[in-house]
Amino acid sequence: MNAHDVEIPVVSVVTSHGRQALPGGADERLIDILGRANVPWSAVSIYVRPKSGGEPRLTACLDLTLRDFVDASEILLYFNRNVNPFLFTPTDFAVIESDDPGAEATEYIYQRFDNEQGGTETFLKKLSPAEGKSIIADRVGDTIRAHVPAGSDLVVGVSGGGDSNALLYGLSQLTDHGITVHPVILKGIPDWDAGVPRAQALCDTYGLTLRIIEADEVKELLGIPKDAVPLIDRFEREFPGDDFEFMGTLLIRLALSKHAREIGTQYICTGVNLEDIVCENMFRVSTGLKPAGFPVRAIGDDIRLVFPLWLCPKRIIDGCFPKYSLDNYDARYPCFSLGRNLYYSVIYTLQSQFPGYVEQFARGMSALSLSDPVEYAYNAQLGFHVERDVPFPLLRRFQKMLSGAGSPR
Amino acid sequence: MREAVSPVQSSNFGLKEQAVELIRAAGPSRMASLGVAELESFRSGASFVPASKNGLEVICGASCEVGAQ
Repeated sequence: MNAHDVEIPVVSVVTSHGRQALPGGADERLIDILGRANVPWSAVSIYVRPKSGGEPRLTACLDLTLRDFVDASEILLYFNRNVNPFLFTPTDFAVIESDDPGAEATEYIYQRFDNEQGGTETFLKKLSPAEGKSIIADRVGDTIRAHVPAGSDLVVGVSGGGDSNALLYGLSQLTDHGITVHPVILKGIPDWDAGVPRAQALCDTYGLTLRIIEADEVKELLGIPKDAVPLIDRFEREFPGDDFEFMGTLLIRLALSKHAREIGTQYICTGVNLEDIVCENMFRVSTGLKPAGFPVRAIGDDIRLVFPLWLCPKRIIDGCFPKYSLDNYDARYPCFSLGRNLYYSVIYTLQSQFPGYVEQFARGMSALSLSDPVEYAYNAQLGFHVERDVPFPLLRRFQKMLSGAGSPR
Repeated sequence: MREAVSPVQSSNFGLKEQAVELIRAAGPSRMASLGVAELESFRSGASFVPASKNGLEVICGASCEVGAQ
């Protein structure tokens, strides 16, 4: 051993299913070694065996580098439960090439659970745009056939982004169910305006007439006067540091509902995808609220909001129209709401670490949501349907944003 | 296929002393051949994974205490 060498302890993860030494350098922290091996820090109790002899000692040492352990021959990471934590390792996959080699634009990790064998099989499937589109068409078709009667008019919210482009494609392939599609896009903030040419191009492709709702019409949905103050400025003035996506969701629903009433249908839909719907309901369940209905949600007596992409992951969606997706990403504005960051991050972590589980989670929550639906009630002060009583201070602020005069309408 | 248990229960207590490849070493990619329809069938339509292999949670509950040691 030369002067620069240092004797470092052996790090081993110990489970009821066996043990394995983990590689680690002298200057690496223990928590980083765990992270690289996909060992959750919260799942292990750490025992350090002294080099000087004696029994291993339970030790608080996640922050230490291996060089910091001065009297340790071995670091034993005992898994807290008797499960095999590596049964679902997403990186241990077999690769399945695209049906069109060279044309693959995206990929997805699929995991098959075999309860009888107590095992899993994991596959990394490379997907060409054509394969991605076929998946989207199948999932959209499943949902529409199950929840929208044949012959219905369906008002579709589009943005020019990857989700709604894929949604329009999926609907265009539904040739056996007689749906008439009415695409609608909103204007009024830069992200939305930038999507109009892409949405228009796609609608032209499918022979659909795109209804463009101009910024002043969007403001009218909430009773905002036609003045020079843009909607987003009103929002940011009254709710600084919050995210306009929340307002956007409401406005899209109101716009689609209005158009649906005008053409005499109750069916509206948006491009809410798998991660979106699970995120919404992860938030709801973890704050004591029951899941909100999906893939179909009754809002009042006359509107049925449908989510045809509810089992479609973004990774697959984006592979359908690669160029349009990039344009949409370039137009993104950062989200600063802690909660929105939290719930999306939880979902992406679950989805990445346990491929296939989020889909089961979604299906389970969907069953719950449909068995005991959330009821939306008309709020006369707001002029639209909401789920719960709105706290008075929040109602005042919202009305102040709409009026812009510092007092409620 | 990665499996959760050894087929012989009585000999499993000593597994924790055995060095095994829990985390598979990086190597050349393995290839497989499955169609999109089959992949999608187990992604979006597979049976729910029960807590116990035989669905004993119906009788015993499925809290974290199930099988905890």
